[in-house]
Amino acid sequence: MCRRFIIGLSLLWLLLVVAWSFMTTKEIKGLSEGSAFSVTNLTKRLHSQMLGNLWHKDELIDVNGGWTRILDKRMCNGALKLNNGYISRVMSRTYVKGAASRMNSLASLCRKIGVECLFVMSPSKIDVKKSLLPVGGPAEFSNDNADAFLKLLTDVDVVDTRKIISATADDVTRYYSKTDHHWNFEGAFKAFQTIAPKMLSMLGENADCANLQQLDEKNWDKVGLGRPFLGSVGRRTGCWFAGMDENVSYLLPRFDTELSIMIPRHQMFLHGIFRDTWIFRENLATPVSWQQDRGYSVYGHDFPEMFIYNSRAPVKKRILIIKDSFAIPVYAFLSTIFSEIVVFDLRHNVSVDVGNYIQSFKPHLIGVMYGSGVLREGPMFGFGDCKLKKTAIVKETRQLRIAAKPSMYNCATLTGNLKPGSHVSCSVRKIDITEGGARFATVALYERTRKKIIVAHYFEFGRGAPQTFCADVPNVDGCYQLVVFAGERGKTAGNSVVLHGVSLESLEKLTDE
Amino acid sequence: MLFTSLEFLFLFLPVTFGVYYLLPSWKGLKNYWLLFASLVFYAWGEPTFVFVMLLSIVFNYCAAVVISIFKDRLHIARLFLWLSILGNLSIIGLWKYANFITETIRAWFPALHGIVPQTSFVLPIGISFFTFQAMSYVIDVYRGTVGVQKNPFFLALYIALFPQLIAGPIVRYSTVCDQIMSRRTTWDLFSSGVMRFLVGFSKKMLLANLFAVTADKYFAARELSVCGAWLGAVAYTLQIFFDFSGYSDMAIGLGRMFGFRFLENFDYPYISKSITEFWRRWHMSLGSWFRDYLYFPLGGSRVSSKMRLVFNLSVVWFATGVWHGANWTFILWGVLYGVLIVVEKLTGLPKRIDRNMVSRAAGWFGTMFFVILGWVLFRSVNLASAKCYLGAMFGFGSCGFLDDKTIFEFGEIKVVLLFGLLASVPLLDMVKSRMNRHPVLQDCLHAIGGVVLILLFVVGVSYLSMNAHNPFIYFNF
Repeated sequence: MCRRFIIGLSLLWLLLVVAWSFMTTKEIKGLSEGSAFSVTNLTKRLHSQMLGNLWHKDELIDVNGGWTRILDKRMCNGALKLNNGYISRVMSRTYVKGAASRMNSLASLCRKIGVECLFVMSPSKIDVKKSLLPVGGPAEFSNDNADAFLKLLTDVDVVDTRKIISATADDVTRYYSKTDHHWNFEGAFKAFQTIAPKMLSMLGENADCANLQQLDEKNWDKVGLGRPFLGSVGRRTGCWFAGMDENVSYLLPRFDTELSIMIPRHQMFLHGIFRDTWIFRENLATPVSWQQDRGYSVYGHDFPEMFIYNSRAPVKKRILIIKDSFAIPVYAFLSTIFSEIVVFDLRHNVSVDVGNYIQSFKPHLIGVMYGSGVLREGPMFGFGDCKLKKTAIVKETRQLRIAAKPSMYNCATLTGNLKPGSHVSCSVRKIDITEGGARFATVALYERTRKKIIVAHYFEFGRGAPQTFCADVPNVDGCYQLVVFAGERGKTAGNSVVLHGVSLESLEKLTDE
Repeated sequence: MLFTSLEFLFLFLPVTFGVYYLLPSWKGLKNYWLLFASLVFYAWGEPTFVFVMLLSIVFNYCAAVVISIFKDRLHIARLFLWLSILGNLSIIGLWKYANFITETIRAWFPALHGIVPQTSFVLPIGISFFTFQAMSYVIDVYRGTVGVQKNPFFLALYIALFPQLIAGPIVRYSTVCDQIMSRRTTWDLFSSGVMRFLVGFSKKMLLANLFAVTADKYFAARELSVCGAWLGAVAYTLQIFFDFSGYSDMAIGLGRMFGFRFLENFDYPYISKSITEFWRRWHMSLGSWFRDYLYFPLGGSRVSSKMRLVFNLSVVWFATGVWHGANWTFILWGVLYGVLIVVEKLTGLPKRIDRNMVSRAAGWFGTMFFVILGWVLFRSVNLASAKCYLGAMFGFGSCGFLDDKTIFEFGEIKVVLLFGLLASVPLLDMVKSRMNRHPVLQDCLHAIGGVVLILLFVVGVSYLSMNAHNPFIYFNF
């Protein structure tokens, strides 16, 4: 009897420790939620919850990688060990025709409105000659997909970074992390040294610009990450399969910089020198779990939208960059040259139609920077209808003042009754704060009946250049208006703001294109 | 639910154990709990099929009770026996074979398309196992070798007991009837069950699943070299053994943890020197089922003419093929073994093989050659792909003798292959038997064995943590 209770209680204890560690009470309650409840769905959800919250998952993945190494296998959980000991994902053949067609449409629209368009092909971790692949190993098509895609582009300027980053096996060893499918920061800088001059020449900048100090690596300091790093491929295999990346270093400029970075979706406003704005310190620290290692994201995450301003930029041009994760360090480097860069990552539900956006925002150049892993028709090439539209001025106001009030939501309406499905843009020549301590005003597309902010943007006080906010009004009935808050939403009390040269525009369809 | 799943290992099993060992033995409470747990186990993922199993339980319970009532009036009892056999075959026929039968009829007789609709029944997992267990119970009641179980819940427990429910071994009622009524779990039995479970878990996760990756690649390939085709076939040969025997080990181990002692199901079949010996060592519970309930009633080998013997063997092996699946590949696989065993019976080959070393080696090579060919038939999706694969094995493929892919795949699997080959022979058993004379060494071996098994369990769980390829072949039978 006594033994029975000991065994029973021990096993129940095991249950409590192990099984309960998989899920929080909230997650257990969440199992029965959802529209299509059934026993089958419940068991599937339970499985994914247990898998996601597995006890010591990091260590188990390490064990698995170590065991695979003992078995002398080169494939581990979808990752392939290359001939140089690095690990890479294996890419299957992709149907690239649709993506190339969408890229050609965007380039065609750019030509019509006088905007330069550049496609940057990010490199693959497999060298172009495929000498890093084991003989007889799995078929790998990243370079073939990239070649097929580039062949289909018509009248699009291209920088193919594979020619400098992954032309040979030695290039890959130098410019890639061992455990990450992205290039390392040195590789990204090397690409930047090619991409930036190309952009400058497309923008017609004079020859002096090609000798910019930003392009010389002597003007950048290498700073060590100070910890080992496990990249995105390494997180699938653990650290015992191919080891970790040691001696990873990132770059900081030696020259003066003054940047403002706005990420309204995350309510982030950063201002200061390169180190204080671009370096996301939380990603430098050793993570609690390797599954959360963000060593590659030293220069930021894959944010859906970023707005970067450089008041000391040598080139006063607006650049729109549409990108995947390869471009993260590259646009950080580019921001030291160009005065205004807007970055869209179309995987993350960007709030505007790209085709409309470039017509109202009017950038000088659009750079699409993609790796071979995304060259298929889908959200990454969702540039909208890419049709030429007419810009119509809705309203022009020479000056608009928002007086100081104790309200936390002190704001002024720029325009009301915006048509559902339309595209609006608002630009201000200058915006100043006359009372209070805020650093920026918030301009937002607001739906009055549901009291919901659809999308918001920041206008920085005191900037010497015009600032623009563009938005697509949802094609759903509602009472939409553009409003400006005298500061950060919820923190406007006591602020007084003056907007100079406010102009509201909308895009209208052309009857004959 | 799979034994090799996170839900089973870290949720279902601890709960089932915890409650089981806390419950008193009073009035079979433990049995009721085990039955409830078994139904949950079966219903996990696809709950509707639990009703098919409950239908089978109720039907066979009634049949056995009626047969026991009329045990003195043999012709009535026999009538109910045949009715119960017909009923069981109808259950399995409907869910397992209806699709194949209608598809074949429609393919052979296009004129019947309007009359014979194409059925699309979904196969309830483990239907062949629980139906055969239920049939054996009713037949044993008719024969008087076991008494009728009057408690329907206890009969349900026999049929639905989760360790052996979905992939065997096919447990006879006579083996477990006393254990259902009264059993005692000793610490030794429990710990031996845990060890056996870990052995099975390691076989499945660390050998079968890794062989499956290679086998799946080759059986899905359009172009094969000779060496590649053989590598794929050998990988599948080892996969199916470690998959099924691993599952049987886990079932036997779980049974012991709950106080049940199931009979062995495998005895190193790949060391067999003849096909007859192979089938004495492979899926022993199925082989003995067909022997006791089909082959012997037909007359077995004690028949007056050789033609009758050939007929009896043909029926048994045709049935064995059909039992494994509703596909011509399975039927042909069964027929192949039927032919081989008839040849061995008629020539007395198995007895002659044991004469000397050379004939034993030749016997082993010959046996493994046909076993591997048989598994190619078994694994192929249809006869056409089986033909292509077998052709590639004998040089009629499109990639020559040896290709780069095979060199790479061999490199990937070579260490696993070595472990697999070592685990297919009774090497450890030989070591253990040698150590019987040295108790200290034996204790050391047990301790080391325990530690190794725990480490292998951790490695196995690491595959689960990555949601790695985890197929289970005998689920479909």
